[in-house]
Amino acid sequence: MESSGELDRNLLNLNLKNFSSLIPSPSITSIDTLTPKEEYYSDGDEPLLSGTGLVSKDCSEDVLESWAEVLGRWKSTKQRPRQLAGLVRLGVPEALRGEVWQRLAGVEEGAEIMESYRVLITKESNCENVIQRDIARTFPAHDFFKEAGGLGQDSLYRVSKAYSVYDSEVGYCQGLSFLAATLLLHMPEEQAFCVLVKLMYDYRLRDLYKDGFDNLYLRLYQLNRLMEEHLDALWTHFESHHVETHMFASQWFLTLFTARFPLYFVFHIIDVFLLQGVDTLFQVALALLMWCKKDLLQLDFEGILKYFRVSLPKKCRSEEAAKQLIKLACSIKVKKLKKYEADFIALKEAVEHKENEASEVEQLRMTVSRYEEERKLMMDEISQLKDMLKREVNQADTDKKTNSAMINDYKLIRQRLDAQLRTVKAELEDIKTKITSCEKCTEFLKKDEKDPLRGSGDPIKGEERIRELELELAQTKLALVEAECRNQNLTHQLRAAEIELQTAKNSWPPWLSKTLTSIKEVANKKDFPNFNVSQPGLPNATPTFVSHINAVRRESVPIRTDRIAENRRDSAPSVIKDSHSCTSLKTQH
Amino acid sequence: MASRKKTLLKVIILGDSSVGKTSLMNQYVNRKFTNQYKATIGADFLTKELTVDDRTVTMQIWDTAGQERFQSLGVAFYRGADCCVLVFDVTAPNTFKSLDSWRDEFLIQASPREPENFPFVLLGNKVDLEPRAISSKRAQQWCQSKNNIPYFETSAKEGLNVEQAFMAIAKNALAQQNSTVDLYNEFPDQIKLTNTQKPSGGSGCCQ
Repeated sequence: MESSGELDRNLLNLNLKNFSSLIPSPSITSIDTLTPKEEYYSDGDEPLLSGTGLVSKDCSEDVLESWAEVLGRWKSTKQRPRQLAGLVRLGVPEALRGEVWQRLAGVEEGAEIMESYRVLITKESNCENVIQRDIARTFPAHDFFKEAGGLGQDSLYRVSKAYSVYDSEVGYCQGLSFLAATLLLHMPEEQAFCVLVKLMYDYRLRDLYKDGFDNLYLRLYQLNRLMEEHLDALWTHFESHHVETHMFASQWFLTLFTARFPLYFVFHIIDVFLLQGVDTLFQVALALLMWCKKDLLQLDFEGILKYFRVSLPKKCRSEEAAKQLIKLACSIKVKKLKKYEADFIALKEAVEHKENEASEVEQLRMTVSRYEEERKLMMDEISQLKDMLKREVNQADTDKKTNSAMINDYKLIRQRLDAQLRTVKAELEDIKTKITSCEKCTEFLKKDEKDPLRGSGDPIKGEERIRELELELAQTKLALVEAECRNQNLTHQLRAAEIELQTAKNSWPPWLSKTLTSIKEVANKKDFPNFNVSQPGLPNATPTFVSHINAVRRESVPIRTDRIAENRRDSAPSVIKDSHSCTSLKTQH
Repeated sequence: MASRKKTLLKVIILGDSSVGKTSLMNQYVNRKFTNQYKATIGADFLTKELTVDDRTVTMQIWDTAGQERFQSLGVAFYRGADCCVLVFDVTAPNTFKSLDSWRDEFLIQASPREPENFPFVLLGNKVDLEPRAISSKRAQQWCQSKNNIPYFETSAKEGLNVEQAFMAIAKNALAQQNSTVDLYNEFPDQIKLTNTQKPSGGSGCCQ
């Protein structure tokens, strides 16, 4: 078996740098020793293990010959021969796959990648842990990858790690290991790495893994639209059961169908994919859906997804089925991919636009609510202010009312006063005219102008004056009493003297008595005959004194200014002088 | 109303790559363990019928890819989940450290009604392996800090505690669903969201 593989390569005289002579080609050595047939062919609920399925190297002479011819021409022309496409679509003979895949991918032209591989495997990768975890879980059913620390797992680890270093943007993404493993089943590490790089870059598979799977979503959208176009009934059925393309096809696309399907089918898909590129993804997907459309239409959500997981890969186990599927796939025309891509971008932009709008609306809403709050606060403030102002206005109103009442009162008072003033003025005018018409009064007025009390008409001065006069009156009264006492004494002395005189008279001669009687008669004609006669030694000022007392007696009745004035005329000059000194003293103090 | 209808519980299994999500699911559903599982790309699910408190329910268990960048692909499956199972490998400290981000990301993407009450269950897997890096105590402390998440130590390989763990998951999922159903029942007239309003043939829009 192994030698036949080598023989084939030699036969085709492919000038490829490979280490296949050092590394036993796994696809050839181990495929026959896959999982036990009974498990592989069981139709139980267990899904097919990844990396299972027989791949026969048997190939008819005719086919080999046509391949030899095509490959020979391809070598010389460097261009893909016309017959190549047809041959590849029928399936590349397993024995030739390694070489054909490399040629289809254009590996010879990029020999420097192969050189760089040796450097890349020595470098550290930050994906080492993730890769390590996936190595044992990639094609675990295949003998070549079964053994931990075995050649297959080691090669797979190195290729995956080298790629993660080579393409730092993608690094390592789950799914890549299946692709690498598929390649490693046909060629040594270096070549496998080169084809992987070509697949990722030239065939744009790496786009699928980048930027949060944006390109994957585009592909899934395109598949959805193609389903709508080619599989109307199924598309409607899926829609109604909420089965979306990402639920079954993301694994198909991310691993190029390698993770779930039997190897014969997987290899054949890779043949076609390397020949014609990304369109193959859709063709194969659509072919699978068309192929099992009847089954799928009978199933519900769970049934559909389980079918994709278990039944569908099992249905592809036979070579015949795989060939049929690929034939079907190649017949499907996928024309509108560009249009669908544009639709997807427009849709995405619309969604983004909507999101932006939504966020804008949200922002506006927040702003509005903020303003609303501010408004509320302001309204509160305003109502507070209103209340305050209302109170103020009320206060002002009441104030105004009282003020206007007061003003009215004052007005009335003023009117009254004005009237009074007018009458007083009139009276005064009247008096003035009367006075001016009276000569006596004019004189009196002139004299009176000198009188400060009258001129000023000061009531205080008048009162003072009254007090002074009262004092003076009291003193005068005292003096009167004293004078009366003395008078009594004198009357006594007079009586005694009279008695003495009577006795003497009795003894006196008659002439003397007659003389005395005549004297008495004379004396009785006067006011104070006894006083004058018997008290000749009293002061001469007596008449003035008497008149003074008379004046005081008159003053004790209620005071009237004219009376005072009258009184002053005859008796007050000295007192007025005193009152003057008094007031001056007061003012000094 | 709910009892006559088939009760479907949707459960999402999250956790770092290679902690044993697929193995746990398969051990529970098929009572099998194999070293030959492939890395999960995208998401897969298995269903299992079981009886919870005399009630037959179907549990739809969604298994997701563990690599961080695949989180965005898993999001589509998060919505409508009734319970989220977080898995870490007791022998790999990093897988324990990632739990917070898995939980947060789930809550953001699934946006459940009451994020603080959404049921999570934590599984510390691979207890059959040595040496152990994360103690039960440490895991339990984390659970306590997250509103008392139930914690189970499992071995998918030996089938240890797997049945019990998934029973707890089912119970929590059912409780969550009942609470949501009660919420809906508060409205007398239910608006049914079905596809009956859709045009019967999709052909009209693609030509």
